Amino acid sequence: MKVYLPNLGEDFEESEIVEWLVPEGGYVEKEGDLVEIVTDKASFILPSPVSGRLVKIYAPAGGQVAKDGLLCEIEE
Amino acid sequence: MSVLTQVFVDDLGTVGYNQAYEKQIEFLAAVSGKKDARVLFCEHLPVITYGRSFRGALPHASLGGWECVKTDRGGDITAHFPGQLVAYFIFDLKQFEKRLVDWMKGIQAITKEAISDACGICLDERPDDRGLWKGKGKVVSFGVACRRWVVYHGAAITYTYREDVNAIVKPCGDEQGYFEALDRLLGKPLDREALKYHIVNRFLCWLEGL
Repeated sequence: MKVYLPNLGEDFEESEIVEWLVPEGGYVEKEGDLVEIVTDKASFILPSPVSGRLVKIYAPAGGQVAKDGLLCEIEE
Repeated sequence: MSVLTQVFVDDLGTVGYNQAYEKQIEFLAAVSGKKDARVLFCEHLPVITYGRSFRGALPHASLGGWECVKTDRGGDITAHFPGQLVAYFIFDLKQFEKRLVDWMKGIQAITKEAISDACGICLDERPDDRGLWKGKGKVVSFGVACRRWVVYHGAAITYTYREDVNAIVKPCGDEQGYFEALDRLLGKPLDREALKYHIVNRFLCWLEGL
């Protein structure tokens, strides 16, 4: 399953990836902490939408991700 | 329209930063998945905090009793101290059908309106930044965190002017800026309890979409 940045609001055109809380190859539970993002004056920890293995990170830490941008892929 | 079930309001008085942070984390777990909200008021013992967006250099170590704490909210560097009312808001965005951007706009509007209600002062907003100012003086700073759709952290409202704070840190690292206070703008002390009342009132109205 490909995971995209959810709609945080129309004002948030671009957000910064601070830290991946699960490494590539790691397992994450549904609703578990997946990635920390900062935007505007908010830090946001995105929960995983599914349980599975994080096979690929498309938006590395330190980089920017656009609204609706591809974050990662999780193999259920 | 959403229907509010319960809002709990606490005032910790003057406490260390970590004590209030731990209380927030406790409340975060309590409201997750529920249509409950918490407002936690306090004032902090002198502390400089820097958020996840901070990229500058920390103030020099000789802070004369000021603690320096890295924290998990968004935003840059700021100071908390007695004479500044901190309002932490903790609730589950999804339960109230709100998005993060709604809250970022909401917390600013709630605070601005509550200050106007409490003392008649209308603070300035800036198009490219969150916060509330009077001229170059920053009166209110915002910093929010969101974990599993529950928001926490909140607003810091300086109501008692302190020259010593401005000698130590500039709000959000703005070299032209300084911490302004409501009592200096008002020309008399501010009624802290009235400010708290109006913050809770405006927050309730916002949650209920009024």
